Amino acid sequence: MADDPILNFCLKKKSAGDSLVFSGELTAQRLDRLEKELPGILRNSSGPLVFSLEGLTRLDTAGALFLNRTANKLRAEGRTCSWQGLDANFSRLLELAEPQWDETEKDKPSPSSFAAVERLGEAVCEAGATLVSLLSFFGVFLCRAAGVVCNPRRLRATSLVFHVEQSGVGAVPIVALLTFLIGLVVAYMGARQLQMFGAQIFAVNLLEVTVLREMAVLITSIVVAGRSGSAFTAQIGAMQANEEIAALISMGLDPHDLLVLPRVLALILSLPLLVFLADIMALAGGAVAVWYTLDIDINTFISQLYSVAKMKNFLAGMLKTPFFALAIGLIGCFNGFKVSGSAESVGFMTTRAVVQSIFSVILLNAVFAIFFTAIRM
Amino acid sequence: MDDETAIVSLRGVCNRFGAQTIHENLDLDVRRGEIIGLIGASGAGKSVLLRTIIGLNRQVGGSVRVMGLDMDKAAEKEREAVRRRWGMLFQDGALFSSLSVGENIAFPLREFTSLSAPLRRDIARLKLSLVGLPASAYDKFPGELSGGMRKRAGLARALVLDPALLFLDEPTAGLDPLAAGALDRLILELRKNLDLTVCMATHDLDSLYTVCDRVAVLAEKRIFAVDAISGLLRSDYPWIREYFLGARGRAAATRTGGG
Repeated sequence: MADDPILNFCLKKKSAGDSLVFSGELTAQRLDRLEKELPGILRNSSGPLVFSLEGLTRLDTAGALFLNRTANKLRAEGRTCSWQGLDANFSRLLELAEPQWDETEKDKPSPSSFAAVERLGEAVCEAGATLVSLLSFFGVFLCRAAGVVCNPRRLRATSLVFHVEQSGVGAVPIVALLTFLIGLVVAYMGARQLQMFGAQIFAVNLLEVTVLREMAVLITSIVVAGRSGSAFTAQIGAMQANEEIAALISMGLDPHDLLVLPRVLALILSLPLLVFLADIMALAGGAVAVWYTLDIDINTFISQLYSVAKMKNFLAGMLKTPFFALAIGLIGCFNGFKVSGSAESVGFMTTRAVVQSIFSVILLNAVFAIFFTAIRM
Repeated sequence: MDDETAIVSLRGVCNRFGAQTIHENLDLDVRRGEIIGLIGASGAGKSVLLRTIIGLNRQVGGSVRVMGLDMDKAAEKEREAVRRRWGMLFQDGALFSSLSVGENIAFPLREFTSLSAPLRRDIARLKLSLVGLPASAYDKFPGELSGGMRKRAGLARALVLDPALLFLDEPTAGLDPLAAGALDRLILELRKNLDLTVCMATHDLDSLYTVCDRVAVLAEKRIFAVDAISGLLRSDYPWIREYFLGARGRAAATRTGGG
């Protein structure tokens, strides 16, 4: 504030000893100039020093701390320091603001010269530990699932339906749109290339194998991982941070039964249906593309599709979906349980869940490709 | 009451959430240098009132004046100057989780002053010891602290610029009796040393008896009564009688020698 008196300070040299005279307000807001200029001023003085505070209108703890620090430093150099013009308030403050902690800084452990190697090793160990605990999470899930098979009444039907709606029905618009566009692009690009050989009609064959086998499944799984896998982590994580999971356990309820099973089962049910929808939409997109670029009408497209379409491509695509759903659901829930305490860790684990589940979907897809080749499917 | 003695002055404040009215025509004056306690049943709107005063919640009607400044009409620059002269302790400390405790406390210094890093660190350590936290808490992150420690660290951050006005939302809730007592003494000590005005929403009867000069009772959507506890005891409003003369109220009165 403009009308506040600012801080003034000067060194007065007297025969009895030097004194440092302050006036105005000595507060944290005004301390910066003093901090910068005082070392220079002190170099000009020697012998006993008096801090004269008579003119101060206001002193706060930061100011008092600074005075104490300065006095302590001078005393350590063997000079005597004393106060002048202390009223009761100022002396209480100075007493309050006495630095009591150990002045020697604790040395932080210096980074080792092999820091990069160390980090790599830690990352590998952590990844291994995560994998092991994910596997044990999977094991618990299997046990609970087996329990539900033996005793279907243990299944939370309401919760299951809710999550099918959330992660299945809710994902329909975006999955439909995205796969339609993917089908469009695949057919268009294929048609352009094959046109050069006059083999444009084979764009339909290309579309069929790419979309049914790989693209529809992959795109749908990635969308679901981003939409539902992350939602699982965020929901369970928020419950974990809020001690709701602890409350469930304390009541003798099993969080796996209540939270994990309905979510993962919902994904296993809804992902195949979504992929089926994605297949149709992608083929429709492809039909539009070839009709537009090659002038192949819809009847020709369908008859060509009939002649080339093989059940095994469609099945190969659909066969993967429950496994992808299992991976996405498990990783989503698993990371939710790993949330600790703060709200910050919910966000961190959610990001991690998305990365891990997309990674595992692509990895599993590669494994399936090898497997299908081996069994000649 | 004129602006000379009232550091916070609310006139006709109304707060509504949807169809639910929280405050209706609420008046309150906080005198300079006093410690005022704000009590009321759960859900009576104590926190909302504090949030209204510090501008986190815009009232539907009425005016809020802090340090003589109408917080709704004043220029942004003036409001900022006022904001730097108050401190707020939120219920769970509201520490920034990405910063260590020390960095949290030094944060206002880093933003609003140009002090050197070592001096900032020393000031932060002083505040840390003032609120009774061990020096080892300095490098810890908020997630590693207990609720009571987070609260004290939040208080240290609220105090770091030596505010003229301090708002406390349930300062002793969740603290053990020793820590709560220490915090009460700390508030008294700080008031004595730093010309502090304190406005605290609390349910802690011990705190009310030991530190509060006056207590404002939030009931019937307004400040039903403001008085020293001895004055409130003469009230015949059932909730107030129940509050201070129930078993816990009487126990607190005997413990602290008040009432």
